[in-house]
Amino acid sequence: MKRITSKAAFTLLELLTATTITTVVVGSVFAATAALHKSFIGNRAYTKGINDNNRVVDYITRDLRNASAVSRRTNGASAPFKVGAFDITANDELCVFVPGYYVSNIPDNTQASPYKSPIFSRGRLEGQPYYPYNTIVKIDGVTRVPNYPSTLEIRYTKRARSASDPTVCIIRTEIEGGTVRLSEDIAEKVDSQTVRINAVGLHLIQITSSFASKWSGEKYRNNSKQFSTVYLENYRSDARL
Amino acid sequence: MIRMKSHISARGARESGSTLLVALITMAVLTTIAASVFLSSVPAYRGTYQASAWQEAKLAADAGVDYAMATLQKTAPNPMLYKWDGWTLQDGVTAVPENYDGIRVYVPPAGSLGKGDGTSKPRVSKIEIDVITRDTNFAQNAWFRIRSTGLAEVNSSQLSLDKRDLSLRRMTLKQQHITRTVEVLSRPVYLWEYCLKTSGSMVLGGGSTWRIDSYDSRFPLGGIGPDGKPVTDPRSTRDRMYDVQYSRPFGNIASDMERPENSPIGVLIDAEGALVKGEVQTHGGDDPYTEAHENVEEADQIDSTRITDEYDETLDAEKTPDWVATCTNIKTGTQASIDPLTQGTNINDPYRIVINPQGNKAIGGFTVVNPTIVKDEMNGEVKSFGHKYVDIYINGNVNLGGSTIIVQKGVHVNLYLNGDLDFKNQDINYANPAVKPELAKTTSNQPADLLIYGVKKDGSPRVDSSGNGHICAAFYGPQYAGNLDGNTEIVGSFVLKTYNIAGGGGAGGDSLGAGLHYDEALGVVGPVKYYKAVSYFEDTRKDLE
Repeated sequence: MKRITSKAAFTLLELLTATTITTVVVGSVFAATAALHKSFIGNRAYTKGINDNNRVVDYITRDLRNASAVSRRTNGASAPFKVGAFDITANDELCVFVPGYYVSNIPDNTQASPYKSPIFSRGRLEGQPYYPYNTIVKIDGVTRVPNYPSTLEIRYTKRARSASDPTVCIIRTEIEGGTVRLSEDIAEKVDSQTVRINAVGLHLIQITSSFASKWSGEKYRNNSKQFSTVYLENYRSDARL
Repeated sequence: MIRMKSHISARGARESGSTLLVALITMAVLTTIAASVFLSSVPAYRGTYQASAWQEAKLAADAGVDYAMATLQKTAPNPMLYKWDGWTLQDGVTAVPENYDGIRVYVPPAGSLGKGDGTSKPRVSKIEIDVITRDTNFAQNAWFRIRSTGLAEVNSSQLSLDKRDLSLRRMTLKQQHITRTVEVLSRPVYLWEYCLKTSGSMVLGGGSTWRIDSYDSRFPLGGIGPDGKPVTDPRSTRDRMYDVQYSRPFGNIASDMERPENSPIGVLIDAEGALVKGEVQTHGGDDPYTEAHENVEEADQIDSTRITDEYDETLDAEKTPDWVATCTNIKTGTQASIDPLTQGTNINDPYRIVINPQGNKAIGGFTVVNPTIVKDEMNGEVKSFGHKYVDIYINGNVNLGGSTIIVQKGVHVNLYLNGDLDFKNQDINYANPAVKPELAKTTSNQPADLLIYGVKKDGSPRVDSSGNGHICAAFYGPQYAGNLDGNTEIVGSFVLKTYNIAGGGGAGGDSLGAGLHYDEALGVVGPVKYYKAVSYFEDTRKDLE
């Protein structure tokens, strides 16, 4: 029995060797897993950042294309934005004025809702072949431009979602006649995201969005930059203000 | 042996158990890695793909707008006469009636669909055009509304990383495509919407009293406005002429000349200190980051807020007339007479003549007579007149030394000139009632009644003047060099290749106010030059298609 037992046992050297190898292997696996986990988290955060960049740039680009006036609102005071650059913050907001295009702004998204009928749809002509000239056309000096009946202000700001929720978001707010019609966060947890608006000229505005990931820090912010350059097609009603 | 077997077998069993365990652990780790990769990368891939398809749907919608705009350009110069081949009413079958105001539709042929790059296959889904309003001028040209829908396919009906993407991109994931609709308003552009336009250089008059401003002959002192009420804010005299006391600030000027590529900032208009009451526009040249306007030199009498550098317009020469008409000869130095008699009572059926100079000589001036004028026998004042429409094609140079061009009241002249034009120091379609009261009784004095089209394209066509003359006309010749020297006073609008004034441009003779005085009524006269998009709007609230 003793011989059998002694034959079945490991020597001290074997045990030490096995323990060392096991420790190294298990340690490596844990280290690799931790690194992978960190990499996944970092990758996911980076993907989210890129996706947020993309969405914010696309939102602002779409609204600017429709714009008939653009303002910069600093500490609550608005001024036409024609040249220069600024970063969107809680106290430095971008205001895009687009034509009041719809019959009403009651948020009703059902099929064929009047909310979605343009003011000048043919269904509202009431038997006339076309709209009266003075309804559609405004003479600005001697230049004939569209006579938009009203404007909708779209304001972009970066701030906490609410007083009770400190999550930093990019907020897009639609304001009609002083009344807030819609307020939505278009990107959340954007502490490090910077949205820069640069007016190259009266009708040319560039939007740049970037972020610094927790993993790589400010060093690689430039790698995350996304651009859009918008030509404002519409007549700017604030050109002479 | 038995022991040995047993030992071997026992060791072997332990070893295979470890291998299985290691293999399972390895597989679990790899599976976790793979799952994580898929979990994070697939939604990101979907998001990227959907964002890309969203952009491509917009490009497709814009392509539809381009197609519609190209079609509208074909309707010029007379949109009323255009046949909408390839377009139908909304039923998809019925041809578009003549001068139709409702919606006409163009759906690209099936064979041209799905040719876009990648798997999103962006395409123009549908284009609609209707008339949203019409100009209030005689021609009542249409303002068109274009609605173009672009479509791109998405390969997945699942959401991407963030639900906010769906809110922005408004995708119909069940149908696996994205549509975007763009609405554009397009208006007719006329030849004389500015006081002065050049395709090249522009040097203004430097006299102390020289000015560019505007008036509006449609709203005279004591007149009746379009609302049927008396005009309370007159924009011209009782004779519908310019007067400095009714001067308005819309004498807009523009130069399409560009700076060299290696020097994009700098002078494009030399204002020479002239007073310009209007917009001053150049094609580039201004530095947006400085307060000064580098594009306009000596601009101290110009409102700096009205100096911009975004003007960009291709100015094409008008076509040479191809109509056939009676050929007439007029000698130089004589005041000939052109009388439409009973003809030319309809703008669509004008009285037309072609004039060839005798030999190689230039022709002189002429009076275009209105035979329907009825005068008061007592004082010679014009009691009534009918309207006459006269098209004249001069196939040669015009030199007005010793003669002039007079258009009588009620006559509307389109003058096509295949040659150079020298106004000399004559009064063209102009008679000041205070100086020439008898002539003024029958003279039009309205620039809209003498529309001159310079159609000469060979050589270096030019238009000249000198002395103290007054020119009451509109001239369109973007290939003509304009040397309107001396104290020439222009009441109307000029479109030229270059504009230059030598001699100071001071007030001379019976000056109304030296300079250029734009009649705002010219903004909507003449043929439609082209259609221009004046409003762009993406319809983001429409029902998803």
